[in-house]
Amino acid sequence: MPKNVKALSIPELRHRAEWIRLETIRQIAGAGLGHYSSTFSAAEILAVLYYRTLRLDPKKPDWADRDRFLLGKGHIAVGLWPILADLGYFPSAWLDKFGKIDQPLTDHPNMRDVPGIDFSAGSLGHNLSVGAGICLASRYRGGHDRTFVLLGDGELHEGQLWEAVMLASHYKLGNLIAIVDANGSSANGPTSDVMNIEPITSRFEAFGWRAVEIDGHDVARLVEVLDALPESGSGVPTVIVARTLKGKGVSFMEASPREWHLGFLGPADRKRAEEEIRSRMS
Amino acid sequence: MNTKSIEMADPFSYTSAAEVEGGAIVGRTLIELAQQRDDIVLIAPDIGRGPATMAFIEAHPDRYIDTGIAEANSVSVAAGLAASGYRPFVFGIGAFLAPKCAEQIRTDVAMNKLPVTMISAWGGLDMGYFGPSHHALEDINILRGAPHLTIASAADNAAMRALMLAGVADGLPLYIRAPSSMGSDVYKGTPRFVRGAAHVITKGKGIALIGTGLGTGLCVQAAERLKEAGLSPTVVDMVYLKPFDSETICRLAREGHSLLVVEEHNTSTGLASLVAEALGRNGIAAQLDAVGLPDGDLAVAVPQQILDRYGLTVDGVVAKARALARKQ
Repeated sequence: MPKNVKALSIPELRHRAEWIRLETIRQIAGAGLGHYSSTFSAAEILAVLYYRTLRLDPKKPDWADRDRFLLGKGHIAVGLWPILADLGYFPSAWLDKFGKIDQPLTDHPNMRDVPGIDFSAGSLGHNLSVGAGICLASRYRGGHDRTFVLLGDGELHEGQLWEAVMLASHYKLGNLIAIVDANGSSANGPTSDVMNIEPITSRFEAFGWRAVEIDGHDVARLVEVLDALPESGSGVPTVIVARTLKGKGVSFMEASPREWHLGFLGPADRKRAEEEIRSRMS
Repeated sequence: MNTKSIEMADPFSYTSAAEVEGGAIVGRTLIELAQQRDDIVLIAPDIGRGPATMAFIEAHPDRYIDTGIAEANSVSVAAGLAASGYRPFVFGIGAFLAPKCAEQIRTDVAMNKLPVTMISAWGGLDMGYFGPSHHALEDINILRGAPHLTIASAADNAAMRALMLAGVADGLPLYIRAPSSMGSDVYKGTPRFVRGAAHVITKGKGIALIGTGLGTGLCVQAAERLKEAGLSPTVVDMVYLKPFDSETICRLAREGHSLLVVEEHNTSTGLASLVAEALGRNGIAAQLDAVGLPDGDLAVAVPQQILDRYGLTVDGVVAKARALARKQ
């Protein structure tokens, strides 16, 4: 069986999530604009996936039996870049040029430019369908790999997403795992005020999925759920509804998450944010 | 003159000889491909179990994925299969495939340069009886902005087969406009197409009949009539709409040809526009006219009646060609 690249302990994973937040701030400082708060809501999810759950070989990004990870909410690639650099998919020096013209690391990930990106992202609602296609391909190949797709809760407004949800249960894609970063906020306001998407969990269940609802910042719980995923041949797709806080980890962003959906931290605010994050890392 | 029968009472009966013939080539070619390769997959949303799909499904049941009536999902699922090393075909109703899936085709398939072949079933006016929602007359326009996408238009069964084989060999994103069931046979053997190149069927002088899809067959037949009238038309199959062979168009104009475009597409955003753009960008003045569909409310009827209404017939092409010739 393929192995995960690293299997960090729960305290180490918590530390990694904070490091992702710091690296996000650092990259956006260079780019001049970026998605902070929706990256911060997913920091623990990304840390647990890449440093514990996913079976990868960074030396062989095209390894056929690797687990796949698709960023449905593609605008948080800034949180993925430091992880992929750290794992060795590309030089860390690339991070310093995030968001610059003609550089590979962009606001949304491009599979043609960056090793380790299994599929490009940008248009919400597409990547669960793409993930289903990857799972069907794995079945043809007789593979044991799993495909993880990180979705935003606002992304659940997209009609195509539910076409993919329907298809996944119809084709019994037990190797498809959707994680909803349910931070409760989208560009137009609180997600369910804009267009009610609740109850997310029972809606997925009604479509034939196995659904688990957890606190998406509780690293121990994320580990527990992701360690206990059914094997890829189980025949039932899984959704993890991760209840999160947009802007998590920086109190002034938590207080006004939408203002920090896309923005730029001035020097004073950057210092405040970094100090708050670092205070939890010591 | 079209003499093929149409089952008026039930347009979905698949009993029209032309429909069986036209549609079946897709299934036959898929079977041919699947005998050579183990990476062929067919996704055919809401196409029914017509001959195009049934032959393939019966031969390779595990390689057929039914996505239900969900075209957008079909294209993105195909992109996922292609990203995993497979060569999926999406065979979708022409009126919906490009309009409804424009974004999935652009974003998931074309921008990622993935080897997905998309084929419009019942292209052009094949479903003209259903209403304007089922006219497939804007797909060139809708898709030509998608980067890396090849757009081809099959004039007949032989062309469809050649394009499907070439698409798999090239391993690039490809959209093929299927031949309308009203089309006629153009090629006797397998045409040798070069991606992005116009295919010159007959080299003549004075007037060039430039067809695509059903239009190519009309051009070939009209050329015979025009020869009887003492003209010697050049006949070109613009089998590729993208990449577009501006060079051949400009050369024909420089040689003194008047150009008549024949297309089962609206003439405001289709091949005629591409030809005009090629001439304009290269500063070449030429007589240009088009036989095709106007931009606006179109008639609703069985295909031949609509084609007759707008002059997408051999008679219509001959009349416009003669009018162009008189201007020279």
